[in-house]
Amino acid sequence: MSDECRQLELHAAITAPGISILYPGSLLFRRRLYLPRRYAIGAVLAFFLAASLMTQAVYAADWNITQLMHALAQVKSGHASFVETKYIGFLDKPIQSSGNMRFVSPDMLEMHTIKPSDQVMLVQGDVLTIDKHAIQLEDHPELLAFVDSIRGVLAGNTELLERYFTLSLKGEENSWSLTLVPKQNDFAKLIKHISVGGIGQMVRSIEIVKVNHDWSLISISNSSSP
Amino acid sequence: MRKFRWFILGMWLAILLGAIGIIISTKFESTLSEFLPKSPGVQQEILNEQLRNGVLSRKILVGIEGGDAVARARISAQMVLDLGKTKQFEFVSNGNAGVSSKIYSYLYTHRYLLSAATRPQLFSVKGLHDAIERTLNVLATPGGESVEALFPSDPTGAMIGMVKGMSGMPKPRVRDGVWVSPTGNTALLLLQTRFSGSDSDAQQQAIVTIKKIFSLAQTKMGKSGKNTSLQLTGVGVIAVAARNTIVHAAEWMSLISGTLIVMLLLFVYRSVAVLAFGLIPVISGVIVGIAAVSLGFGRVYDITLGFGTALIGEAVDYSIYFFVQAGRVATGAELWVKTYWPIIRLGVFTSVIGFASLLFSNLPGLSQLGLYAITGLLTAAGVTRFVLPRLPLRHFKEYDLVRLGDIRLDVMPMLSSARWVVISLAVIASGILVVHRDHIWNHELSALSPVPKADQLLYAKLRKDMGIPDAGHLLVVSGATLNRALEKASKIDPLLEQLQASGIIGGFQTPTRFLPSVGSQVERRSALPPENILNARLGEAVRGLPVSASLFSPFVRELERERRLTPLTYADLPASIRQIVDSMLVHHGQEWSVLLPVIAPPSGRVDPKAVQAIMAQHHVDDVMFVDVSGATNTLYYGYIRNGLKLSLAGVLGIIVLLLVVFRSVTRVIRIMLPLIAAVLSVAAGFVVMGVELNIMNLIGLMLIVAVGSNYALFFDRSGQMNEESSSRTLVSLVIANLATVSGFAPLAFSGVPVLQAIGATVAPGVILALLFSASLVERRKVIVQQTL
Repeated sequence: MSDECRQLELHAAITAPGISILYPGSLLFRRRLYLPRRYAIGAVLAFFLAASLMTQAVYAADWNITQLMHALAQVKSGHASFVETKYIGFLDKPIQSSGNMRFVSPDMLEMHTIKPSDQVMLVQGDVLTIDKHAIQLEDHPELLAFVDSIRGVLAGNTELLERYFTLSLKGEENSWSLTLVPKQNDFAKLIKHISVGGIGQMVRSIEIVKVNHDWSLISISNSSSP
Repeated sequence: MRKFRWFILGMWLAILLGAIGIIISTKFESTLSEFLPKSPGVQQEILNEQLRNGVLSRKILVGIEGGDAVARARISAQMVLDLGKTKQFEFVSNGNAGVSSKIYSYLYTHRYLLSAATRPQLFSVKGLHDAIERTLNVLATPGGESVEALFPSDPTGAMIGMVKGMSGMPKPRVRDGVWVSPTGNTALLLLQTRFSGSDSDAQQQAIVTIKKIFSLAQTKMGKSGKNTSLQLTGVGVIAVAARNTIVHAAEWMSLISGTLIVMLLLFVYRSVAVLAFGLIPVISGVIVGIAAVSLGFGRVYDITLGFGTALIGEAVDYSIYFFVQAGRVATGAELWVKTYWPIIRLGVFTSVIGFASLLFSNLPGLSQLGLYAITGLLTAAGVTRFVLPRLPLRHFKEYDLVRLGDIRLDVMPMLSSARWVVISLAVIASGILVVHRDHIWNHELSALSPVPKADQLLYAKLRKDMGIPDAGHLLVVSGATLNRALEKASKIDPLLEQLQASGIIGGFQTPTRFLPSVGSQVERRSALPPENILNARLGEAVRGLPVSASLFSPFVRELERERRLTPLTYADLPASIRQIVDSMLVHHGQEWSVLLPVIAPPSGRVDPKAVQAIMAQHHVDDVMFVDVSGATNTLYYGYIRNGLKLSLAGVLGIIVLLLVVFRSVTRVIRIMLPLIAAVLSVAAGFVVMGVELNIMNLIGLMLIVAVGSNYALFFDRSGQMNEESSSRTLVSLVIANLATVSGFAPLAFSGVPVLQAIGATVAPGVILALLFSASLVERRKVIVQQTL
């Protein structure tokens, strides 16, 4: 019940629906769902793990987080389309949304969802706005941690990322995967880890795995730097 | 003078004792709103009620500044803990004690009774299907995870709808677990006292408690709490502060002007005994004046005392006239009664007519002042005339006043040749006033407020930080019972939603979100299907959706529970909800009013016509749209106009009185001209200096006429006196003038806006009135004087 209670309180604090990108724990996860998928993921992960271990051994000398961050920091702005797929325990099927996103270094991020319904979410500095309802990120540290994880990667800001996460890098320059494991307790209660995948200086996917095994995948395509 | 001596003295003493008896049992009151109008209409009555005794008046806003954020948060938490233990507050919060979670869980547990979306159609197969699909879409959209936990128990999104409706409600930010200002530099607390804001004594006690608890919390924090400081504001706090400021200022100013006057009189009389006798008329006037106000109004406002005593400062002059003009008392008193008393009597009547205009003012504060000044002056004059001559005054050593009188011979011709200066000054002043006619009067209520600007600003700031909206616009509906008023309000809610959607308003608040009328609750409850029917419909509704009906068993359970609830009433509301609902209710007389505060759209302006149009279109006609600041300012403008009319009536009354007495138009013009010239010059002076006049300046201008009329009348008569009398008259006028200036000038430096206005108007005004009256003395008389 305590989780639900916290969820209520969070709601009340925000007082507008759908504002929180925070992934609060839910006790309603049903284990019976998704078993096949989870096995599949396990297999894929194992494969990549092995592969990455090999590649890491090979490239460790000349490809590291500092270099990745440096490369990411070169991209000052970009826009792309995204598809977010959410795998929620109590649903029979994943649900999807899609739209366009825009990033301007260092701290402006906009996600304009077109399907299934129109919604503009804008993060600028300390303020998160969803359809004109603004909330102060500083008032919600967990939310800030999440927003900063994405902004930190897009802006190539190692310092910001290390404030909340332990970083580990896998892969090579043309196919890398950066895993962020939360340090902070509040956030760690909800999020297991966030994996960001990309090619060169382009971010291609953001995968968020929650403690309750719900997860979501944001695929990013047609990225360009104007 | 020996005639009736004991009878008159005995009567005087009896009246004084009776008056003191009345004063002892008098209720002295100090509220912020005493200069608000009596009953100018329903709108204003509601606002006044809200200001005087409403929830707003009971709120105290607390700010903690200095130190670091953690120290402020910990002090804030400690204070909430300690304040909660006292019995003085019915509500204490810093955002920490889960207020929002209490509000949230209240909404959650009654969601189907409270949600306007609860209708039979919503629970049909199609209604359920569509609603679940909508909620799933919210869930799919980025950020939708926040509704994830709610989904199984609220798949139709009742909570989403309610919370969305309230999202326009401003609220303070939270940091380190407590409310803070937008800059984060001030930790905020919101308290609500059990006593109304107009109960200044109880408010004062509450303030003392808060300060004590703050310093305790501060000490507990040790070093890190050292640099923190406390800010308090609120209607009650301001009223207490205003009372204290005014009482302090009034005390200081009476001390200063009292000392000045006493020194002046000592210098003139050279006798403590005479001085003591000289103060008898004023003191008698004050005592009888207060008693009269107490009898007439049932209570006396503190502010009346402060201003009123300055008003009857004119009474000091009477004894000055008496002592100086009467000369050697043994023979002088009877002579004085014959020669001078008629002039003073006329002067008293002109002043009384002037003050009578205050008596009819629609501001209770002002009518008290009028009554106080009138009875005070009449008493002082009567005591001067009947009591003073009968007192054993054997110690009066006449000071050689001839020397002072001689000056007249040099000054008077000079002044009288300056008559054209006076006339041209009056013309120039009128010119200035005509040119600036739109900027003469300050039309804002705050100009009248005895509250220092800094306090007003602090209140505005903390209010904004707390997210308590400025009294901007309100919709008001009334009914014979609370339920009736709520019913009316719920008819307006959907219209306001339309206005919000079309951007005419930015949002609105309504108590029906927390407490719908019993009718709507019963209607909503009957829309909820019984468990078995709901289960069957859900099974069909989830077809084609990525969910199974079994997920919604919490929803079915909750709906069944709410189906059995009895409708919520005011008495059922938990404290945190009640304080929200209370802030939108006013109970006055036999009626309940619901206030629906309207938030302005981003443009900052609400178009009243658009709001009224949509109300008319839907045949909602018993709703009032109130522009609060506009209403109060219009109202204030109204009584500035009213005050002006009454003052003009007062001046006309004085002219008529003089015409009746003198039966000579030129004489009356000669008497009135210097007074009017003085009033115009002072008003023009303010305008030139860029100071807008308020109602207190208006009182000051009337005082110039009231006091100045004595001068003008004496100068008018001085031609008929012999040289000795003339010089005595002049001396007495100069001394009286100095006494009046000593009485009023310190007020100009008091630091209390209203007192300043009176002081800065009267002090220069009476000097001008004396000079102008002297220069308009009939030329023939001056020539006669010179040839003598």
